[in-house]
Amino acid sequence: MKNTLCTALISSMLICSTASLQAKELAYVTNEKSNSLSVIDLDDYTVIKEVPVGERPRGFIFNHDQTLAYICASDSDRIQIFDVASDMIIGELPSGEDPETIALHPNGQTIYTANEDDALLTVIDIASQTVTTQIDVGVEPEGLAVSPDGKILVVTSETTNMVHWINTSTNQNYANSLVGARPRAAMFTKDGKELWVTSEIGGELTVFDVATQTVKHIFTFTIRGMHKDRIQPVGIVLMQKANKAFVALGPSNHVAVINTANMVIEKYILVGRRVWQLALNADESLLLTTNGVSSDVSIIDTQTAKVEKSVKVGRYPWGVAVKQL
Amino acid sequence: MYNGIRPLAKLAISMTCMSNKLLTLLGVLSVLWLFPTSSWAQTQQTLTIHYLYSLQESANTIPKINQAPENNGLAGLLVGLQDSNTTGKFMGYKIILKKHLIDATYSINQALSNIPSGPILVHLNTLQTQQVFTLATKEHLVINVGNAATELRRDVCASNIFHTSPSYPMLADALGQWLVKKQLDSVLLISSEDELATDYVTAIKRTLQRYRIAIIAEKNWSFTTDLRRTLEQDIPLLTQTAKTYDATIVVDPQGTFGYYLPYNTYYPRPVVGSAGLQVDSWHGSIEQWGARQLQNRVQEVAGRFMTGVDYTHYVAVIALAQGLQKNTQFTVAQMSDYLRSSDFSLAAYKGRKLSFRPKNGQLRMPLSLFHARGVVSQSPQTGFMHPVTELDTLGLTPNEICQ
Repeated sequence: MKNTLCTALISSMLICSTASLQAKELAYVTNEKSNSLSVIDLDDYTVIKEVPVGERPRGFIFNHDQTLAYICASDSDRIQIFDVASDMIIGELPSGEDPETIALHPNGQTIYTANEDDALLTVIDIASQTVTTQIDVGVEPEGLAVSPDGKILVVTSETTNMVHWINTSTNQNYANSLVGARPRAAMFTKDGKELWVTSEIGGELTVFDVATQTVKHIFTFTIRGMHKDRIQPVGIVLMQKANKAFVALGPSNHVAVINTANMVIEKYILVGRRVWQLALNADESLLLTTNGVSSDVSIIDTQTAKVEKSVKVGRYPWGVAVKQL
Repeated sequence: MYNGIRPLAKLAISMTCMSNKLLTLLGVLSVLWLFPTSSWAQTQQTLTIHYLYSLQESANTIPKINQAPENNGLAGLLVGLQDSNTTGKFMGYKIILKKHLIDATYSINQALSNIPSGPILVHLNTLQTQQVFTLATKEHLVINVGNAATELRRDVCASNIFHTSPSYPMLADALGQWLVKKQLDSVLLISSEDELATDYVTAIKRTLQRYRIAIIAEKNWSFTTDLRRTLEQDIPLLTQTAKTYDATIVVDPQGTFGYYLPYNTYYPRPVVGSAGLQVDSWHGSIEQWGARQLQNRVQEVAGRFMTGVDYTHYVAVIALAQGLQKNTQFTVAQMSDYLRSSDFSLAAYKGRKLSFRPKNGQLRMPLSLFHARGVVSQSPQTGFMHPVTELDTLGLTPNEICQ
């Protein structure tokens, strides 16, 4: 799983497989309303520090060697470059207005960000810290994903209800697919053949065939005793080492566990309130969820699908990624 | 006769200029479109939304800060068009607006004779809205975007008529549920004497009866004098009752006096309704559920926050656009069927999907309860159950409609 894709949703998967499984790990969580990062030690599940960053931090990813992180400070209208060793903001990337999510190209040189207020996707060259181009997309672009081979970028637009397919070599939008209402997160499978997209208000998870952009499968979710309108799929992670996917279901306060071999929803795990984004640690033994309304992070054992601990963080945790020490 | 499908023809856009007078828009939203025989996605197709509205002067006695903005409603409509056309760019359609200002020189009859078919958004008073409903043919899809009158929902169930504006019974139920949640079991009801207030009061009494909230006293606002100097003497007298009440409900849709009441009632109790804790489809302080981005877009277009009337206009446009996304070859009848069907669900910054009630075309939506600077709550309140959707705990029940 070396150097695969990276989005705000799944950035923890970036961690190189060379690292020891026993290595100490830290989870970094962006707190949308505290303008800070909470750092959780995954050995004892405690918050070891809270670091102030820009306004309304949301999307968060590490670079490949995890020495730097990129933070979407949405209300500061910039992407901040965070030095992990010193906990300092050491620079900024030009992002356009209101960057919400970011994705790093597998080449490590290009960063993509969705400008929610401007219906634009901004392509940024990291080395020169310049905007390469801006691409017109639908209203309120949100979820971003780069295919494992780096050839395709997709962005979802919440109010246009579309997945926009973009060729990364030409930066041209070559196809658009309609999905359920308010699409949020997108993620490619590790072989790059499928794209998984959640629709928050539509209550769906759509699986596309990447080659043809056709719909292969649509999941809908049912939780006993819960009105279907409250089941709102948002963040997704796909395990690389097992046939398992996890889907955060927003205000239903549950995470769905999907068996990707037979495409069956196996279980719903109760977590904190308004579960938003998800991340796995390096050996995929732990799943972390940001729970916006209850301002905590649920740490789940992926084998048993049980919550090990809920950790209180700052206000409105949004993004999460795991770093190995 | 309505043939369903008509050849595409592009309509010229003629936008009548807005009056500069400080006026409130009244409106019914009516959208007309021409239906193509080819797919919208293949070639650029144009849909015209017709907007019937009138201008209504705010009374001079209303403080400026409480007067509705000049472009109330229109701002939401324009943002709706902008959002829909961004999507249309990828789908190959474009929605354009044609405004019809209804006044002494241009009647509803004339307007409708100029609109052969398609969607019409209506922002007009109750009588005028009824007239549009009566004159509309099967080739029109009419959406009331600005009138809360009960009778428009109670007596009209034509398949091509919709309301994105919340009704008085919905607003009243939203308030009533909050009173129940707060265990405020008895109220003082104060209302003005105009027609709108009468309608709203009827709806509130229906709610109070439903939720078993007692009316301690009912008073009419009949002051004609300027109270600015005698407020602190006169309002406690008006609100003095032998028995205490838990809250004061003020019904003042025109905004002429309600603002006198908060902090001035005889008993120190909350004021709710048209002043104090208010209820509407939207408020400028809403930022949840992605609403911040919508507020930003309205700011860009109008230089102010989004109002409830802006919101109902906005939702009408994006509902139609969603129909086009589903099937760009929809006829008026098919669009009406789709909007009323269980297939239709709209994401509209309320944290849950919105839909139309099939019987009377009323938009189901959560309503916000807020004070001047912030959101307090959202109804339906937790615990109010309904076999179909909790959203149907707000407003007229099927057995109150079209009997």
